[in-house]
Amino acid sequence: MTYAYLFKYIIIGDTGVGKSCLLLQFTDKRFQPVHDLTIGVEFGARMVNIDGKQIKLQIWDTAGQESFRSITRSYYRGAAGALLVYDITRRETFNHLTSWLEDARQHSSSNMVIMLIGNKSDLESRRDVKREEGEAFAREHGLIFMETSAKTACNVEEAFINTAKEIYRKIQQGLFDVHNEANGIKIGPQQSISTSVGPSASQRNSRDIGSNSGCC
Amino acid sequence: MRPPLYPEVQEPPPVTSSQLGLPLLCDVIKPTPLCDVTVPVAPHPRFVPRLLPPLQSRCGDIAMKRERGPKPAFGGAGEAELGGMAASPTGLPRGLQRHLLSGEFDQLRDFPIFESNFVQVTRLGEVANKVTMGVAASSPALELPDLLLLAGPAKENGHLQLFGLFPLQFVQLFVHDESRWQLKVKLSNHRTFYLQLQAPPKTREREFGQWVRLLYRLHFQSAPAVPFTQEY
Ligand SMILES: Nc1nc2c(ncn2[C@@H]2O[C@H](COP(=O)(O)OP(=O)(O)OP(=O)(O)O)[C@@H](O)[C@H]2O)c(=O)[nH]1
Ligand SMILES: [Mg+2]
Repeated sequence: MTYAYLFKYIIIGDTGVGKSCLLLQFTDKRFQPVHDLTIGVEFGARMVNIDGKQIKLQIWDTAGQESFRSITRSYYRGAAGALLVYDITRRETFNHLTSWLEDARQHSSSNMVIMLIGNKSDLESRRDVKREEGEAFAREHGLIFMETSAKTACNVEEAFINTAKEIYRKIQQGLFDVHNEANGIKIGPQQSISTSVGPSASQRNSRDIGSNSGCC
Repeated sequence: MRPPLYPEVQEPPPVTSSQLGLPLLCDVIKPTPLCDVTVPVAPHPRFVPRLLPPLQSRCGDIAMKRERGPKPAFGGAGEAELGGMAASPTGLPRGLQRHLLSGEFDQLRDFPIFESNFVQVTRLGEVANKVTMGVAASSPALELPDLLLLAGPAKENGHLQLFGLFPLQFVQLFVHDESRWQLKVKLSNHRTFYLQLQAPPKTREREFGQWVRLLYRLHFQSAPAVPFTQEY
């Protein structure tokens, strides 16, 4: 299937925060209750429609466990988007965000769009990190922020799609050089730059999803 | 600190003299297009190991014995140069390498890969999914591969799609059943699966032998797997 752009995403964050579950929910619409520790990198892909353009998201789900970190960070390079995930029921995963962010900024393009995700929002009774704390961290570091649940699928589509929208916006503003592979963006096969770039009259496609579905 | 999870790394399956005489990894092998192989494909395969949880021992001892066999008299392994692994008689890259060359995976594009087509089988030999498995070197300077790549047909269009990339230090490869050209792949997160080589009868022995030889090289020449623990 043809696409206008391919965006490379990475999903990073502590082990057990739900990175693989978020990917599985996004690509397969299922939830995996058992923690299947990721070894290295697992891949997922899905087409999304942003502003009438088909965009292929190529997603690199990385292992969060410390022993893999030196290996997985070598794959951050060339990512256009990152989902930085913590678990709202485990404060230490929130405390580690700074170190993940430093890693991400050091090993990838400065243009990379980062979406901070507080996952497991279905476990409200076990909440250990307030939503406002997530919001504040995101504001302070220039990230987009959402709370999600890979279990109920709440905000999962939105998290992936809003990141793509932000990347697309940056392309339209000329902030991303789509010809520079290091930016994690590729022009799709048989697409010429003249047909795939340029501000469009409609900012929102009917298939797009609003950023506030209000489920979390 | 827990002891290493995979003590059997020290005990590879026995080597027969015929295997020792088999061609090296760098030898050319005939490409075997995945489309020639007709096997039922499970619906919506996403990630191979996840699809097929390890089956508990029902008849497994036959297979396991081979893995715990005596140490082979190892010798005459010769040199297997990684740079030559991707070569094929026609000089054309095979499916997985072609997929990585297709332009969507910049970072993996230049990895030399040794790959084969397999079907995932249960321990009893029932066929589950098509899988392409390859080993790759993340740097041409490496003497041995350091990554395992797994790919399979995408659910939308059947095109080969990369599922995972695993540092070989967290993977154990075994000969599961030599007579059926089956390998066992064990990841350090305890996921285990079995793969049966798919290749034309003419080249099957030889291609399997290349895998066998590779396993020995990995067992004997690489550092032991790094143990790790569940952190929460
Ligand atoms: N209740 C609830 N559980 C979740 C959610 N997301 C993930 N989990 C559970 O959390 C555990 C870990 O999820 P994974 O997706 O495997 O974690 P990961 O971040 O990929 O971990 P690593 O691969 O080790 O880095 C699993 O048991 C999941 O079922 C969620 O939104 N809600
Ligand atoms: Mg994972």
